[in-house]
Amino acid sequence: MARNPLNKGQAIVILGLVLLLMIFITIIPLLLTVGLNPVYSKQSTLSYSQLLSQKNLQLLEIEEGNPEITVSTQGDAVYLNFNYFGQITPITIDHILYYSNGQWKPAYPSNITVSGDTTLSLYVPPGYQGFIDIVTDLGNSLYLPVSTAGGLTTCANIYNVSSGEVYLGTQLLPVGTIIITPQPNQLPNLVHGIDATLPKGTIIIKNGNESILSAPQELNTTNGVVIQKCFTSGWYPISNFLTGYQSDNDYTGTVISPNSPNNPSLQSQTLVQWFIASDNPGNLEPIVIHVTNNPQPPSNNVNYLSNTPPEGGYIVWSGDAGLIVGSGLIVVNGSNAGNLGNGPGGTPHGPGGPQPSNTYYLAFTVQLKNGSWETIVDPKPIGQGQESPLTLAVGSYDEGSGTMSLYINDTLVSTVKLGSLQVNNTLSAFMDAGSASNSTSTSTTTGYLNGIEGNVNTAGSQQYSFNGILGPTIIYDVSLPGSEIQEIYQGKIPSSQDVVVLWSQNMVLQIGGAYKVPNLADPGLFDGYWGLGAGIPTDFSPFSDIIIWGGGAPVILNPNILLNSNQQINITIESQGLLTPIVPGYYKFVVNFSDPINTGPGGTPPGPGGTPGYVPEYVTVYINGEKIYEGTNENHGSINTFNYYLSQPVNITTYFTFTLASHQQNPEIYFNLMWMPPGSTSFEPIPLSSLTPFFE
Amino acid sequence: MSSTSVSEFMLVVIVLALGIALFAITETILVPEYSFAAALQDSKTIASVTSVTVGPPIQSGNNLVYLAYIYSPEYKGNFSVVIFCVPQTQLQSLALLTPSIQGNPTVFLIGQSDTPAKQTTLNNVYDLNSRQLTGTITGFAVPANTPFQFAVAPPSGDAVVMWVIYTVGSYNFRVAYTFEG
Repeated sequence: MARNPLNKGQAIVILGLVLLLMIFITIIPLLLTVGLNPVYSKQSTLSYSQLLSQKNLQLLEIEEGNPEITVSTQGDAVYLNFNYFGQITPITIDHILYYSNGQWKPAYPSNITVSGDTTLSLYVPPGYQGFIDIVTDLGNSLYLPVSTAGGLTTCANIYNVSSGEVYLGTQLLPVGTIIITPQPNQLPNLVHGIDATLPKGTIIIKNGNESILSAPQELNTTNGVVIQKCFTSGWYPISNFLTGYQSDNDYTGTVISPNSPNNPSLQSQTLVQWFIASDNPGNLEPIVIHVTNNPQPPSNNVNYLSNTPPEGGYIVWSGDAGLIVGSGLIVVNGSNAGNLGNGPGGTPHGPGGPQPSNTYYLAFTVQLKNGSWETIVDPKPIGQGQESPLTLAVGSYDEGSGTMSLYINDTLVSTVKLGSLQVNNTLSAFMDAGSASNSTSTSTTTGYLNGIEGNVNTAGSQQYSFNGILGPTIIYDVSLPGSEIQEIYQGKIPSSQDVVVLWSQNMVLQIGGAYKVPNLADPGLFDGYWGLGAGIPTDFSPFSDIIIWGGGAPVILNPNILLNSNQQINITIESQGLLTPIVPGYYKFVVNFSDPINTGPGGTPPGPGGTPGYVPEYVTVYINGEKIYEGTNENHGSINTFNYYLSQPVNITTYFTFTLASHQQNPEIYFNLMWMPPGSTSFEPIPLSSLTPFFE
Repeated sequence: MSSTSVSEFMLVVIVLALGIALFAITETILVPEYSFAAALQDSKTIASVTSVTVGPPIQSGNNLVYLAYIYSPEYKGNFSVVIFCVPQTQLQSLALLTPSIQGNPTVFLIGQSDTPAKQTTLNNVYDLNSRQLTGTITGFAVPANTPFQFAVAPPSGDAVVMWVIYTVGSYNFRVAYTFEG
């Protein structure tokens, strides 16, 4: 049979079609599978590594303050603040959230890109005090606590012409003119754009010349600003003296107690100390750092590594870190086994040793866990002469980044980043103000500073002791951002919940033979005690000026102006805020004046070389608007106590008025309000945690 | 029928049989294998660009409330989150732990506090090593790059674990996990 070529061809075609079908059967599902899958695998891993790098870099920059992000309050309003302290790197915030009643909710209605100092008013309930969470476009999520101030809003009846053109009638009052009204609250806190009337008796101090208004007169502030002397975080007592002149062998330290460790054992921390240094009569050592790395001339933003603690006047020593003031600043190589800080024979400033210069410097040091010391300095002197100016010193250490920062007043003068390093928590070390050791040999051989226990008969080693006057001492258990240090300088105690120690340094409680400096942040924990070996606490008013203490910064700082006045001047300091009871119950309060029986122990006149002038003082206390107490130190024997039942926070307002006579000499000004909580048997200071200012 | 026709018919039948067999093999083995491999590859890619942040807990009644955020810049869809509790003593083998105690978690998207996140049923969750972690479990659908919160009541001594599940096709892969507590 002959083959049919057509049939054979058809079969081949059919076979081909079938094979094609098979291929489609196999390929199409695969193609469909491939086609329906996403294409993330095409994404470049390089782009992600760049993204991750940007994300980490953003976090690093935020940690370094570019920008510094904080949450603050003003009254009941809550603000998110972005402040740049270096090169401006824009940051985009995708989400801002707050937490309330079990729910996280938006605190801002949209995303926002920040490219400069910015403040956002957040959409949160009035008085919100929880956390704020922000999420950046690079996926960084930051939890920020609302910073709340502690203390009382404290204002004096003193006003300053701050800026612009302010006229009294037709008379121009230049910037810096001081206005003292006869009564408090006769002008708003800030006077601008209005015509106010100054009452008869108002004192005007213009270019150092004073006058008193014999009749009411118009104050025109249409083109100028007048600001009242106020600050946020006041406390009691309010006084013009500190408890002592810390000579080189006086100090205040914690004591061994079953209820309180010797020091706060902090990692991240901020040390705050007001001081006036004095090298008269030559008993303040220079700061000497015996570095183990290459010696360098003292400079900013350099860390100096040493095996032994830097020498100098430790104004505050937390047990792990210290602020040091010295009359000179020296960096040398090698150990200090030869006692470079002293001359031969142990004589301070003897031949061969570093010489004091009557020029004052500041340093901040921490001891690391490996026992070594890292120190930063400001090579620029604070001042020179017999005394330094009144200065605020702040040192902060952040454990996470190892950042050490040193501030003078409100200015960052030196900062370094060591990397994440823990400080040496020596539990046995005592926390001190005014000194850090009573031994030179111990510290030089072991490399440790154990501090000095308070209330014992010893004296500070000159090599590690300060000479001068110490104002308030504050220790935080966090590293504060620069903006909050600026707030401290303005008289605010920001993040008051993080204050561990607050020694006001203008109150001493004499208990038997002990002189206790109560910790206003948490009385009973880290209370300080004066050492008994040398000087004892005295009522000391530095340098005849009127500096009124009663908060984190001076209420009034008026060198000589008030004392040299030709007029009798009434100064009233108004303190207002919420007083929160520790527990509900009856509280007994006591008002103390500058009556000699109520002042601190010692009895030394509060001014150099003069008899104290006990000026007339008047106090009025209001609770929830009701006058609870009125008294004066001119009425000796009067009852200075009152009771009040406290079950919830109340509005407390106190008016403290003192009268300075014409050319008043050596005034002693003092007002304290203490309480006896339910169950207690003695009067105690009102802690900062029970006081909340109305205005921040 | 001629022998030629028979042989050609046989040839067609064989070819058809082979085609059907090949189709069956493709559909039952090759396509799933490829789909799984492709899904795994995509999940690995997603996992490499995904990070999870869980904030500190806030006590609310008996619950702990957490704010969480899944950052995955190139992904616009939803993830599923699985939240469960484990004893803290087992955390050292965190990668191997599977949901046993779920602690009655609730998940809410921010700004939608009245509406819980949609629950999703997840069949066969795999890790990125192709190992099957679980059978069918319940998760919550949450969008990428958007904060959400979850509340859970962990037993005393337990930590809270959160898995992030990425679904591609019919496969579920755990692309990230974290714990708190």
